[in-house]
Amino acid sequence: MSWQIRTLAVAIAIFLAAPLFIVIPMSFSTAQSLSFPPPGYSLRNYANFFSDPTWTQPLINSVIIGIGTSVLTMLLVVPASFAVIRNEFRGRSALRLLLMLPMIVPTIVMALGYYIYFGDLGLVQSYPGVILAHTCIAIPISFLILTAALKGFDRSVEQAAMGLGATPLTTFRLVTFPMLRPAFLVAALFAFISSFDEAVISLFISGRDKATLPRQMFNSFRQEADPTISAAASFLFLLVLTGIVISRVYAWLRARQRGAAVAGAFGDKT
Amino acid sequence: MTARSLSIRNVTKSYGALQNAVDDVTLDVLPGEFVSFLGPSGSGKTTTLMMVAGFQDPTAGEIRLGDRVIGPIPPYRRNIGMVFQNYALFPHLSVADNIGFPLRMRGMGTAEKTERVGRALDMVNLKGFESRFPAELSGGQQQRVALARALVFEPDLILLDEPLGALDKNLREHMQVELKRIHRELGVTMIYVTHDQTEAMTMSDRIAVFNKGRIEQVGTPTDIYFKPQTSFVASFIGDSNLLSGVGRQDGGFDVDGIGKVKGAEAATAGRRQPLLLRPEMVRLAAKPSDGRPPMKIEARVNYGDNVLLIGKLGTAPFRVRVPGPEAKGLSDDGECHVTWQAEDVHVVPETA
Repeated sequence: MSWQIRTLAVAIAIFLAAPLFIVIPMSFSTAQSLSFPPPGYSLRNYANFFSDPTWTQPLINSVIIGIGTSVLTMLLVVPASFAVIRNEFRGRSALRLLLMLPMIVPTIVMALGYYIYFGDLGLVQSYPGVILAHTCIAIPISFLILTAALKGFDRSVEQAAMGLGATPLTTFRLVTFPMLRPAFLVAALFAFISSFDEAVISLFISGRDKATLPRQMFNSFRQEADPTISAAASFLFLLVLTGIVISRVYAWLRARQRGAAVAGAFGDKT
Repeated sequence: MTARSLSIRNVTKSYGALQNAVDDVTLDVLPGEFVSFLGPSGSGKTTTLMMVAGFQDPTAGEIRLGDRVIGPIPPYRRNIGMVFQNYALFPHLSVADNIGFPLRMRGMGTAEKTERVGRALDMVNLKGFESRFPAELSGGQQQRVALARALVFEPDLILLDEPLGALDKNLREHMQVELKRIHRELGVTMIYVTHDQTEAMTMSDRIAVFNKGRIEQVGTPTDIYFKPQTSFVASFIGDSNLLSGVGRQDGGFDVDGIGKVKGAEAATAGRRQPLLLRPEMVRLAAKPSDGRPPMKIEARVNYGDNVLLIGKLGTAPFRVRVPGPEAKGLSDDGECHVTWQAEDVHVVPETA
């Protein structure tokens, strides 16, 4: 690689990461409002973030909604991935497209749809409502991860298990699932993350009661410029970063253990 | 281990294409027999194996294992051991757990399981590898684990799908000997799929030669080699001179490009048939015999212990394999005289 390309790459990386270099130092600032550079450093913003109910309640809401989204997404996406990868049926590519649709449709359009539709169903400002909407957002990425892993899965291993006396269910429990566990884990993690940092739909339907963290950040920013928001942002970033690191480390460990189609297959997508 | 017979009756597998993947295959395998399915890729040998294992359903026909019809029985209740081409070991389980898997499925207790796994590991010379993982083993070792796993539960039948295909030549020859030893010691019925004719020749009690979804011939390696029933078998197995001759009134043949040739079997006057003469059955001669034209040598391939001469006898393409020392005096583009015994000319019983 020539030095020009290297320089360009570094410049782009710095540009992309630049907001972090502002937000993270700011979260340790002593200033009463959002200002940069910080006049001094303290953990006050973090103390506030983890004690003030205006911040802790949205954090708890976000975690509950994130876990709910993750569980519901997996319940839907696991069977869907197996169906699409392992079977030939009419409308297979249509189904695949349908599952990817939330990635294509503008989020604001979906948010508006949910606002109107969920209003009639009484689901606005409720956990189930936000979880349902976030599941829709999470499906495409989880589906991509799982189908990629499934495509690289050697089915003769399942045949071997069956030939040795394992029923199809036992084969799934003892062979298929353990071998695909990293992919399942990463898919669930990405579902959680895509719910946790989702803002647009939450703004429309989570309401005051079930406000998620991003929604609270938006409100806080608009109303009072509370510097706690920088702590919230840093925390959000740290959580997403941890998720990605965990999934990479896990994939790497598995790959090292078994030279491996599974880890390699979703390594490309994450 | 109880050896069982396998009976394949008129089995056909169709995918709706023009040609059936497996087309009306019938074969009886005796208890304790080692039978190879030999054929080029796409000849239906693996598909037939998969139907026996239960991973594919025959479109028509019946498969019996012992006195059971196994068609409606799912693979996990057939009690058949299978070794896959890529081994198909469980990557997340240790060697001991891989081999113990079929025993676990049969609800065997820990003590007996450990003992049996130990014996199976012994059999494949892998003692001390119990706690390793498949990724930590070489190809040959993985192969042995797959084999141990397929025989540890004393199956009624063992299927091997090109199990040595991924190994290098030395290891392959070593494993061939090992496999034969295990077969002898256990006396279990084995079906061995391969496209390697040497492997089939050296290991099998009988060989079934597959071509285009059909069995061309079933026989002992000697039968298949010296008495092929079709010209496909004659040309697929070993090196061959496949001549074409028309039967004469006196029982000999008029062979294209060569002239009068006597075969081991008498000719039918006027009928055109393929004649098989193995290159190693031909000898160099000092002078022309039986009015045969000389052989023009176009190329020679030196194998060290023997030399293959490629050229034309008269106008027919012809190959001769002679021991190294005998070929010394011959030049690359020279002429030589050849001779052979009439009994070594096998008349392939099909109309060319």
